[in-house]
Amino acid sequence: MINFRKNFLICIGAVAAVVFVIVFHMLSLQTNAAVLTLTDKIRQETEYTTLSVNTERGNIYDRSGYLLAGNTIAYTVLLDLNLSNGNGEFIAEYLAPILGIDEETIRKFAEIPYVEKRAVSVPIKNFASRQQIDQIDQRKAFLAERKTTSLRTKSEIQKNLNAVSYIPNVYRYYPNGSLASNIIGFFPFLNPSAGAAYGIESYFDDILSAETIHKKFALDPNIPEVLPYLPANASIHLTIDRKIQSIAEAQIEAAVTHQRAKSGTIIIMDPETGEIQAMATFPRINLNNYSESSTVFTRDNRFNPAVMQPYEVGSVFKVFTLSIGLDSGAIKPNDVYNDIGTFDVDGQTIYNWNRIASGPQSITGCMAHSLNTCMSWIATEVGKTRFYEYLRAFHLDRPTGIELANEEYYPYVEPGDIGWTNLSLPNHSFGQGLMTTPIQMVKAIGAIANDGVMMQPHIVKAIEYEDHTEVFDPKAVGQPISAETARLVTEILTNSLEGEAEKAMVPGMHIAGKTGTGEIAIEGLGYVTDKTNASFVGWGPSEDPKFVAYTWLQEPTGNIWGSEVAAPLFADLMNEVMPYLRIPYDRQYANDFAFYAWTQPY
Amino acid sequence: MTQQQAYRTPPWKKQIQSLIRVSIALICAFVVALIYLTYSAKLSEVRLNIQEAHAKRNDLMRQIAEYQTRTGALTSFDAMRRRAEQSGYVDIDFYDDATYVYIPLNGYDPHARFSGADLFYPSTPPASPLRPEYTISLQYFLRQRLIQSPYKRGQE
Repeated sequence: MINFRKNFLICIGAVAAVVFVIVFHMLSLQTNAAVLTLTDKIRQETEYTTLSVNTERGNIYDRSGYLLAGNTIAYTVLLDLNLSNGNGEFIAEYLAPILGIDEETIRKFAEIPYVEKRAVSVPIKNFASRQQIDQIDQRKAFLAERKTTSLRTKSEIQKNLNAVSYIPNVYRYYPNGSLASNIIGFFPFLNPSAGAAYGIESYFDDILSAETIHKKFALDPNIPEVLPYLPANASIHLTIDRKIQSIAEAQIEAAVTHQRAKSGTIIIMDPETGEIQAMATFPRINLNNYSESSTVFTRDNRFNPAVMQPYEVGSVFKVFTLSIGLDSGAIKPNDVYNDIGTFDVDGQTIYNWNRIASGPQSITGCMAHSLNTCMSWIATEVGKTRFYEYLRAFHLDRPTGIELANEEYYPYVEPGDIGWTNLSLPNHSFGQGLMTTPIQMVKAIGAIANDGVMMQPHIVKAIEYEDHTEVFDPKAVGQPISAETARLVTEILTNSLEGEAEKAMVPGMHIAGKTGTGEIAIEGLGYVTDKTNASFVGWGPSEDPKFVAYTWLQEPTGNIWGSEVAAPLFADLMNEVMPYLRIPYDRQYANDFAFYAWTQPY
Repeated sequence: MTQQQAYRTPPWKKQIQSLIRVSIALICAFVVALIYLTYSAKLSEVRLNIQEAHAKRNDLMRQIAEYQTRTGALTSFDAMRRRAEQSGYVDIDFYDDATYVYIPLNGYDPHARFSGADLFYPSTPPASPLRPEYTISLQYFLRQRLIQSPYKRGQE
């Protein structure tokens, strides 16, 4: 009895020890990091599969809802090497005519040796079209149904057919090719990891970009899975009108070609809202062949010069000097300036563009003759401190903040900065020695056209998110000059335009404007006279401006003057664009236009 | 002396009891397994449907994107312009009196000028502040002053 009890206790003890060891081991296995990692790895590889789920990139539309950038499907045709090895002849025979690849190439692909987990399949064509895929399916169906004499042949054919597969890929497509390409930018669909470049594509890459979600799905059917949440990408609606954009693009292309210029730019903006209605440049590229950008664009000829290329605008800048002079009270509209052809500063002489003295001139005459001396006098009367305060008020010391990537600006020197001399003020007054981008000019001149109120230029009208739409309302960003000054400047420049650049005048509408021919400074040579930037800025109707248009030709060689190339470009552009801007058209004025111009007293 | 029970359960009864216990256990296990398998099957089916829906949705998303882009291509500016021209439409010509009727407004003066600013009038004939020697080319200067004879210049 004692032995039995003793043995029983030993057994109980042994069982308890075994249970303890097992429990201890189980606990250690469940808490040991190395074991847990290994377990997790095994589970991942054996119990789960990872699927990649893609959302396509957001669309871009013009203001009327026409698609400018969308997505389309192309297919990658693959060969399963496990099935294709040894059957290259047959596969090549029926695939070659469909894919347009020679049989030998396909045969070589098909015979690449199959290596488990290393060489499993090989892509033989990227970007195959839907039609090609349909043809492959039809061909496969035809071959599969073909009557054969032996079962072996039938199974061989099926095996060969199964060796060919395809996977769909979504990629970026630009249905309008080069239209507004400088605004849109591009997404390199052949090399997505490079990321979007330029324009809207780059600026809004975070909300446009297609998101790839890698979701692990359990192979165990008892573990229920839910679909991953796929956020719909935002679509962007621009302020540009594609009709106006296309007219502007045709005009700038013709002007650049005719004048053999390096590049050309046109911007049309609504000064009351800051909406960009067109932003055309030339050269441009077809966005579906975006690789051209590496050869077409250079450091001196950017992708979108309107926002990326500061330059010395020349006499167009006199619009600001006039505005500053009048607004500060330094000059009055009926002042008379006696132009002797020179203006001396610290022993250095400033000449007019034509090195001519024009004698006594009204302020209108100063603008009509585009007198550098008169502008230097006005700037001196204003004083350096107030002059640069006004330039800051016009936001010429900063980028505009328009929703386009890679915007650049060139900070000018101010009193106190290294490089600023007493000659800088008069030079700056007529647009020499400081650089601005066309979009900076349009923004600042928009203030003059809009009764002194400067609007934020914007090119995005709305962003359509999955659950809401964000509308970009017009936003005033400052009032550099008073409404009275703005109207007066518009009147002066309307009258002066007849004397300065009759070619810029538009039949049926009073236009205020100013030409500019900026000389180009070359390192080591200084300013050269045969290379210029020819510009014109105009706004109208002068009674109540509805547009500001800016034209710029970089280094025209046919004719170097802004009044001869940029001004007529403006007139041609506005003649064509006016109906689409829905601006009332004064036919009576237009009918008398030619006669009226000829009967002027000069 | 140990005490013994007066009656014992007969062996057949014990066997039946054992069988009933085992059967109950088996039935319970069977029911549990049945429920488990039923729901497993349902879960599998649902999961398969979800995966199919997933694939279908991806396919539909691609198709929608494709159709949107095809629409974009069909309504692209060049395509629309081509179709408009083929259909006989022409560009707006505001100078075409046959197409547009203009109504003159009473009291409107198209020649009204802005009063706030001076009108532009050409001033005195432009005069250069520089002496002629600084405004003419070297070639012209040499021809005038050196090459041509004083006699000939005198004739001019």
